[in-house]
Amino acid sequence: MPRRRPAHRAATPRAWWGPRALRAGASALGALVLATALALAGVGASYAFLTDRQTIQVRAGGQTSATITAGTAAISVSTASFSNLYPGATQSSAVTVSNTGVVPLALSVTSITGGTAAGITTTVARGTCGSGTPAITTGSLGVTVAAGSTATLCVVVAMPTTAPTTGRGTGTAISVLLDGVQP
Amino acid sequence: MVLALGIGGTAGYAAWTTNTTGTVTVGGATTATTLTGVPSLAVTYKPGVTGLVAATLVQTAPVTIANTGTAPLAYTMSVAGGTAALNAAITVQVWPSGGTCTNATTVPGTATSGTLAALPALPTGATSAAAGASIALCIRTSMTSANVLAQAGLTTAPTITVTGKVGDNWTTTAAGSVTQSAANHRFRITNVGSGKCLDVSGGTASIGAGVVINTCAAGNRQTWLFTPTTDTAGFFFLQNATNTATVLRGGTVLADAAMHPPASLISALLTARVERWQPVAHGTTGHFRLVNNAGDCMVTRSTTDNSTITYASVCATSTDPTNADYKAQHFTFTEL
Repeated sequence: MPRRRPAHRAATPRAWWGPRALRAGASALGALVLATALALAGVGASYAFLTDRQTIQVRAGGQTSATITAGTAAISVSTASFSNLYPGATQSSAVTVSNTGVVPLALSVTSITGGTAAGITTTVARGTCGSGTPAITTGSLGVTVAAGSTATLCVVVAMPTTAPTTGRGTGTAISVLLDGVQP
Repeated sequence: MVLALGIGGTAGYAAWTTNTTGTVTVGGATTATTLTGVPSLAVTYKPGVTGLVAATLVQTAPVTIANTGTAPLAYTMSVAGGTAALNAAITVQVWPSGGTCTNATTVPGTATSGTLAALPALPTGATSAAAGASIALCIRTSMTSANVLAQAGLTTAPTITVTGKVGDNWTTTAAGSVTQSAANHRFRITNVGSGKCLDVSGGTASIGAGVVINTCAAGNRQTWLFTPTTDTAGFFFLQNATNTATVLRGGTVLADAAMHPPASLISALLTARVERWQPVAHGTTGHFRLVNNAGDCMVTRSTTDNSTITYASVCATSTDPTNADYKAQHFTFTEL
């Protein structure tokens, strides 16, 4: 059964629990919320949205003490470099996306910026270059990377015959923002 | 105390997200080209003097277009500048060089043809070059004798430009200039008997100026232009470089061995015939008699400077270079 994605994202790490899930005393809850928030603050670019109905069990009396370490979700991608692109030409290069976190991540392209002044169009497709998978500029790539695994994507750059001379003999930097979302 | 936090149970879950920015670096290709060999097409076309010197009507040279950039280029070739009338009279043929590219090379059927006023298109197989590649062409320019005669004295120096293009907007050019002229032959004429050269009395070939011999020296007064006649094949007007408005007339009387305005070409009078000359090889190799259209030979018997050419006379038959008549009627020609 597909899981619901959160309706919105927070700019900073945060956790949210539904009130109905609370079964412990007020002091124990306070310690739990604090510990979770601190742990998440170290994740950097990772953040999580937790739905309601979380279950907390406190099995000890007296002073409570708990350490909660947040899981991580992180991806990295190798760079792609092209040379001698000219009007009417298309070039492609495979890049490797590494899931260095602990959860599987579904990949998508959020944005591609740069290159337009030189008339360059950039697209990304899953799999090795030439495999025929659809190339996209935004949206889901249709591939999920298991934790600790890698996936291959194909970056394609093209310059139309109508390209201006802006890019002739010069380098252009293009940024591809990839999102990894726990399925 | 054990605190257990259950996450991801049937009733709760967490969705983790992350992102990363992939960097894509794109280097644009460069467009650059060179054109070499065009100046080697330089030539002075000359109509030739039968038996004395061959015509120069053709010039062939290898020309190379090199794609020195990093993008493939499609090429076109154009021309600009120069003397329009002469440009239009010069034929240009272009073909892919097969290695040999000389005036003796046979023009293949695949060659394209135009003029120096409107160059032909580049031939099939020579219209594009990959990055770093070259196009080896053989280019031939040529004129007909009639065109050389009509355009004699003109010089042109057009610029040939090749344009390499990829896409709609990326272009690069390279150019080369060539100088070509049409001219009549110019000779210094030396009598084999005296070793002295034909000259004009007084130093200027004004009307009536006598033709003399003098110690050979550089300069216009001993420079004779051979201008082909249009009415008598193989015969030339001899004009002194000091004044090309007059021609050498060599009749059978003393007064005719002098410079005169050219006679009417229509009348076909005897005076016109004695203004038309033809070098004829005779005797020792390299020796010529200067025969006019009346059949008489130029004669000079003196060995003294400023001696007048006596007249044109009946051509002697001796082939003995020590014979007095032979020495008086034979000359050598040095093209200038």
